[in-house]
Amino acid sequence: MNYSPCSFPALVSPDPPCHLSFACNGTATQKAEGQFVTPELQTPSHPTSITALEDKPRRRQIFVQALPFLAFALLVTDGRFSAASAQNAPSPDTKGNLVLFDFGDANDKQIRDAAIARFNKRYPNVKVTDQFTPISSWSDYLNKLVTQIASGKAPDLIHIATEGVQLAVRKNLVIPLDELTAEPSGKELLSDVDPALVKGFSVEGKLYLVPVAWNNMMIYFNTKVFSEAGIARPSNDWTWDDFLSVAKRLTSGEGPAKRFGFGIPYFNFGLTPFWYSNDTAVLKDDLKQSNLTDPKFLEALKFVHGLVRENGVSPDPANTDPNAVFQLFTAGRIAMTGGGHWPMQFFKANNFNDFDVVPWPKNKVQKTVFGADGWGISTKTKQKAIAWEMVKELTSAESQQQAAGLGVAIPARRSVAESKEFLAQPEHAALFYESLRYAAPVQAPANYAEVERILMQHLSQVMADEVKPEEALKAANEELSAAMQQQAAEGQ
Amino acid sequence: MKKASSDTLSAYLFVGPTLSGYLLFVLGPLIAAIVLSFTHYDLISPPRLVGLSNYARLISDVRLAVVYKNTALFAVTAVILTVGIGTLLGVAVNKRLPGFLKYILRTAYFFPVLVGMIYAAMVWKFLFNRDLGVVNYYLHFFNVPPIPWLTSSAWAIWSVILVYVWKNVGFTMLTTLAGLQNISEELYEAAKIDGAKAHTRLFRITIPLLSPVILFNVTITMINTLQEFDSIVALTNGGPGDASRTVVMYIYDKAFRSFDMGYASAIAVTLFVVISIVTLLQLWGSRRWVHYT
Repeated sequence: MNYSPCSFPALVSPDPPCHLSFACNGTATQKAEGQFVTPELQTPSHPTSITALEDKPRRRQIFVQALPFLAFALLVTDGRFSAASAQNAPSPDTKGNLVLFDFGDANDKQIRDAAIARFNKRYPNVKVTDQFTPISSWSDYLNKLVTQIASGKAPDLIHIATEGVQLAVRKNLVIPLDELTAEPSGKELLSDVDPALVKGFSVEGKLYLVPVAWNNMMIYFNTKVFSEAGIARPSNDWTWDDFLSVAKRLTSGEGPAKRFGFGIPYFNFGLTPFWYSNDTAVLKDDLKQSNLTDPKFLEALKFVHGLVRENGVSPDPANTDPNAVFQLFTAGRIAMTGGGHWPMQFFKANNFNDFDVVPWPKNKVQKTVFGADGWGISTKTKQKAIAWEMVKELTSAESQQQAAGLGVAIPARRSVAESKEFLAQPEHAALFYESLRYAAPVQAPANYAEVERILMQHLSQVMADEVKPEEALKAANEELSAAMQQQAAEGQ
Repeated sequence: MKKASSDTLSAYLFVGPTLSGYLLFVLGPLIAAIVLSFTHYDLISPPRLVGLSNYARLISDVRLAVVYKNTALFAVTAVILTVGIGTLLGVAVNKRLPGFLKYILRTAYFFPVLVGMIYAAMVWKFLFNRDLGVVNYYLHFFNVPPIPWLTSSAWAIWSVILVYVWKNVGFTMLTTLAGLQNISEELYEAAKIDGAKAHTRLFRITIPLLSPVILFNVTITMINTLQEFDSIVALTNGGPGDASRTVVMYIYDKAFRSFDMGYASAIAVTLFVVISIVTLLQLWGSRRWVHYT
């Protein structure tokens, strides 16, 4: 699959995918130093651009041919080169109010404020209110969204994740975007995004959200501890056996001084790669039936349980706070753990740099999980056109580039994921985007919160050594099957 | 006549803010919950009347029995410990202690009340971690094997009770101190002259005269424990399994995780009935042991 971005030569392409724009993969591109530059100062780095530079007479001809386009582009974009400079865009005089239902932390807020500021330059008479909702879990976030809509205060734009797509579509909360993404400026939003992410936001062939960022699960390891233990970085195709062997070697000390080889990311998303890498999952592929009777699921559960009990390489996953494991990792109390890109912001805040990543170990298959977040338009909005312009700004290359170095998530745009800022840390940061090759979306039926609750509740009894894995899965299967049947009945 | 109507108006104005708050935040939601309990409602689609089917589900819900048992255990134990220890602490720090020690002790016992429950619970969660927690770290020096404070069904509910008592015992101590200030010193002096010993004075003077305060503490603590939510969510999230899940947490799960508002409302109605009965029993029983001077 070729994801090469079309940069400068797009201007002379007979059928430019993003005409009137210098870079189809974003609004402004970046210099090596990481500064934003206006396109006329940009040094093309793409191989085709270099060829164009070497062919000077042709380059001059191209430049002359391009001048009218350039002038027009400057005129319509007011000197800015935004992906949001769409055809058929609403008039700049448009008045209105947009409410965004949003989540994130202080970093996200900065990114959103910058996007809103750019939007307000184009639409100064549109007031944008960003309703930031603190997020503890996707389930809780979705609950807040549903509750707000039930109270009659539906937002215009909704920022949700894979976990909420089915629910949002089923409850008719978001509109399909296919018509809008068929426009040239709409196409641009998706041209640089891996199809797996686009597919993850599609239900029955219709796209409902524009991806902006995503996260997966990788194994983080403490490079200093590995070095001290004389253990080399595991290979990218390591297995469960390799993983357990390394975890055992890294586990040392006794009692309070004990260091553990691996800290289990004890939450639904964090545990999913254990199921996936054993070629199984909580639900069957149709997301309508429980799959907990699959012997491969039992095998995977026993492996996770064994990390704590039989092998003693993981501490008791008592803490329900998913970030606790990263604190212990930073403190050197555990040598490996699992996470997506989001723990990076925690490591940065603690000035912790002794880490790198390696893909999740495989057993039956190499497979990890991913979940994306994106922006959709509420079915309740009365300002669809202007809301769509806001979606473009929120998912633009500028927004994603701004987030790239913060360690919040993996950008949806491949070009941004390949930027210097994103690849700066850790050493094998490129593996994040590459994981889409073998990653599958988190299973998220409309009753996701219920599925998560059932799994984690029964799992807690297994991890406490109070119920055998076989019995827990049997009970969980009964409960989950009933929940899925009820879900199916309600859907009819 | 004019004076009387003016007084009535004043009375209504004084009662007004409280009454409107009560109607808006207590009676309104209560009526809404009762109405919703007869419907199927998922927050987005309009409610659909389903008669008594939500109440029929209550009978066959095995989890409901477990969460009610946990709630009863939590409430009764927490009330006994909070009120018992709080009252004793109040009596202890009311003694003639050196000034600075008196204030240090009072502040120390009261301090947890000032800390937000959720913050306190998060700290306790770290302290209670089986493998990496501070509590087991110190117990290790006494050759005590690691205790699964939060991850074992046998321990989880007791750990939650321990944190609740630690957090709230200071409030009971404070109200007890206020009650003790109202007991006349003359009674003690007279009792001493009559030869009453310390424990006699405690059980014959202090506790009987403190009984209205104790009743207040028992009632308030009982209502709070029956509604306890945040500390348990932060400490154990109701687990393992349902080992430390209370009725309020179960209602939350049904309402905001399963979007089953009708059934959640039916459970809430049962909780309302239980709290009402318990409170009425307390008030009725109090006639036998509460002495108002």
